[in-house]
Order: sequence, then C-alpha cells, then structure tokens
Amino acid sequence: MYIIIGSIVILVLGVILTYNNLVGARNAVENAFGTIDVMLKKRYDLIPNLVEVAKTYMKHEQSIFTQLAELRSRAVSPSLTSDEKVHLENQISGIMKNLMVSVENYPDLKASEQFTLLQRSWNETEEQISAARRAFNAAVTQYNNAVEKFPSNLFANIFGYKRKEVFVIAEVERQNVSAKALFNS
Amino acid sequence: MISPDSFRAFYESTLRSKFEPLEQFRRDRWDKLWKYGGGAAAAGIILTLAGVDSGLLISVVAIAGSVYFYRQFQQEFRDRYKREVVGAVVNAFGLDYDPHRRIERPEYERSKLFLDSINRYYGDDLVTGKVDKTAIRFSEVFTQHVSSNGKNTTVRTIFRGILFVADFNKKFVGETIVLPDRSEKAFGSLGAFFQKMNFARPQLVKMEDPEFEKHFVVYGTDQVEARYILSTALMQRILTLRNKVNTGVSLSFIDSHVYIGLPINRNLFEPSSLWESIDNFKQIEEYHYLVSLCMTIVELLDLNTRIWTKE
Repeated sequence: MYIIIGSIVILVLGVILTYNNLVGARNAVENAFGTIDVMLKKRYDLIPNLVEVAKTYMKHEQSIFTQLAELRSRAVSPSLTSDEKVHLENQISGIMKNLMVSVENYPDLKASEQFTLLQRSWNETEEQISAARRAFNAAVTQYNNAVEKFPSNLFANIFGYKRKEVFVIAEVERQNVSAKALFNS
Repeated sequence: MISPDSFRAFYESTLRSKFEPLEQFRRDRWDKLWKYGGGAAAAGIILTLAGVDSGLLISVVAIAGSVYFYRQFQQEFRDRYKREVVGAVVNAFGLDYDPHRRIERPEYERSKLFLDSINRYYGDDLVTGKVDKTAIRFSEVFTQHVSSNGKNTTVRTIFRGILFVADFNKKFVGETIVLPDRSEKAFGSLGAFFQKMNFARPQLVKMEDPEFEKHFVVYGTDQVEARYILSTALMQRILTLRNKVNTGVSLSFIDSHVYIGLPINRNLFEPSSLWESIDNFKQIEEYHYLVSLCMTIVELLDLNTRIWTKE
C-alpha cells in the first residue's frame, strides 16, 4: 500500500518538476529575447549622438547619415515583426561598420574626445548585443532540449510547445569587414 | 616584458654584480661559523678526551651558540636575499616588490574563487605595478582548513599558489566566476547536474564553446553579463592561459577586477640553500619565469585593450 502511495507521490512530483522545468525554459527564452531588445534600444539611442558628432567632420558622407537616420526611425517603431527587426538590425550594423571604417579618413574626427567616447560606447553595446544573442541562443538550446527530450516532450506535445530557432548571424555580418572593398565601392 | 634570452644578458651584465655583496656576506658568515663555532666545539671535544671536566660543557655551549648564530644568519640572509635578489628581478620588470606583504584575506574572500572555510592564511611576496594601462597585483597565498576531533588533526589545503588581481577593461556590475570543471569531466552529465545544483554559487552559465566548457564551469549573477565579459575571444585566451600554466587555473570577475588563482604547490620566491652560491642562474630564472607569467596574463587576456567605456 505504502509503496503504491509512494510511487504515486514520486510520479506526481516528477510531473510537476518536468512541467515547471519546461515553463521555466520557455520563460528564460522570452526573457533573453527581451534583453536583446533592451540592448538594441541602447544602441539606437547612441546613433543620433554619434551621427551628430560625426556629421560636423565627415562632410562627404551625408548620404550615409540620411540612410542611418531613416533606418533608425524605422527600427524603433513598435509595429515591427521580429523578422523585419532582424533585417533592419543587419542593415544598421552593416552601415555602422562602413561608417567606422570611413572614420579612418578623418583624422580630426578620430582625435575628437567626444567621438572616441561615443565609439567606445558603441563597441560596448556591440559586445553587449552579441552577449545577449549568445544568452538567447543558450536559453533556446535549453528550451529545445526540454521540448524534445523524454519525458518533458510529452508535456510539450500536450501543451503545444514547439521548437524555437536560434539566432543565426547574417551572412553580411559574418564576413570580416574589408576596408579595401569598402573604399572601392 | 623581458624575454628569457635578454634576461640572461641582463643577468650577466647587471644583476650579477648587484648580488656580489650578498654573496660576500654569505661566505663570510659561513667562514666565521666554521672557524669560531666549529673551532670551539672541536676544542671542547679534545679537552673532554684529555680528561678535562669542562670540555663537554664547552662543546655543548659551542654547538648551541652555533645553532643560534646559524638561525640568525639564515633569517638575515633570507631577508636580504628577498630584498636584493628577488627584488632586483621584479624591479627589472618595472614592478614593485615587498617580501613581507601579501594579497590580504578580505581580498582573497572577495574574489570568491575558493568558498571553503579556512582558518589558516599565509602569504608573502607581494608584487604590484602597472603593465601599460593595467594595474596588477599578485602574491603568494597559502590557505588551509585545520579541523580536529580531539584525537586527530586534519589539515586540508584549500589553495596554494599565486593569487593575481588586475584591473579589468570592461565595466560590469555582477559577478562571474570561472572554475576548473572537475565534476562534469569525471561524471559527465550527472556532474553537469551537480554543477547546476551548486547552491553556494550563482546560476550556472553554459558557454557555447565546447572546448572551453570541457575545461571550465562558469557561474554568474547575470547570463548576459557573463557572456559580455567572457567574449568568444576571451574564452580562447583563457584556454591558452590554462595550457600555458598547465594547471587548474580559476578566474573571477568581480567589482571591476579580474582575480586569478594559479595553483603552484611549493614555496615561491625563496632563496636557494645557504650552502650554495647565490650566483645561480637557474634559481634566478625561476623568479623571472613567475613574474613574466603574471605579466603575460595581461597580454594573454588582452587587458590593455581599452576600446570600451572603461579607461
């Protein structure tokens, strides 16, 4: 009798723990995604400042600034789908990389203390975004494991938990920036 | 940084002559000890054999006196050796050296590298200074936990080696701790489960670099911040450091500092024996190796790159 009661208790506990683990993993993914958003927001906030300082020195790059301002205003609009967001994000990253390379042509700008500070903040947010993405991927991996591994996959099927995709770095970003190619274009 | 080759040249040209007064002192003391102590003891023995009653007393007094002077000699030699020889080697790197100071216990505890309780804290040979933009400090630290049940006393060593502290180049607010991965290596996924259940540490941070994960386990108060500190490049650099020192190195990133524990199971920065000449390049080279290793950490972990907001 006790053995049966004991087995039932263990079974129920097991069910609760497995289910909670699944929910925890899903929430961790949402939380990690939120963090990426926060970091991206931080980066968007930096853009106007950077542009403001760079503009005064970089007379020949006005088209870049216009493009950047436009992309930024689109990126901060709340009605974007996550695919659009990622696409805009990649475009902004590409342009910013080009901009940072062109800075080499403007020694006065490079020497400007204000710009150096902004550039440092930029590097910092870049690393933070990359860290947030990696954290997101780690959370997704853990979640996917929970969704697919036995016995939690049983609950995943019942409650409709599906595999999530990890962040894949866009092809443009994966290539190293080639200064030569940028100047030739 | 001084390469081993240029250090040899530096030793020949500069250090060697600096060590001469101390070598003179060492020889001189030995001579005196042999001459007076040994002479008196021998005289006492001869007198005893010749049947003089006070002979034995003279021998005993001579031997006791010699032991006393030997101890004093030893102490004085050690002090001077550390200041003049080890100090000269450390200074050659542009760093400061104090044989009597150490990284103190509160800092050891703040590093959170070793959480086991300790009741013995030893250490000496504090080296301080700057490597380019990065302030560093390190010393020998030896901690133990002694417990006794009335009959038996058990002494457990918690850490013995070099505790290294440097200013870290990124800003952060939380705590990230990187420890050698023992349990996962030994017990596989069961070990990973125990790592997760380690309540003494903050949450487990799973890194995506399999090589890094094989050798280390990471705990952190913030998943994103831990990855911000441990960039993919830094993980590779930590692996390089681990391979270089070939020992279970542990690191923690707390309060804008990086703390590194390098276990080395012997007494460091100590003089060679009193019997040997101090003009011993092999011995001096060991000090050079230890100091340059700690300086290399700055380079290996790229701490001088200040491209983030922290200057």
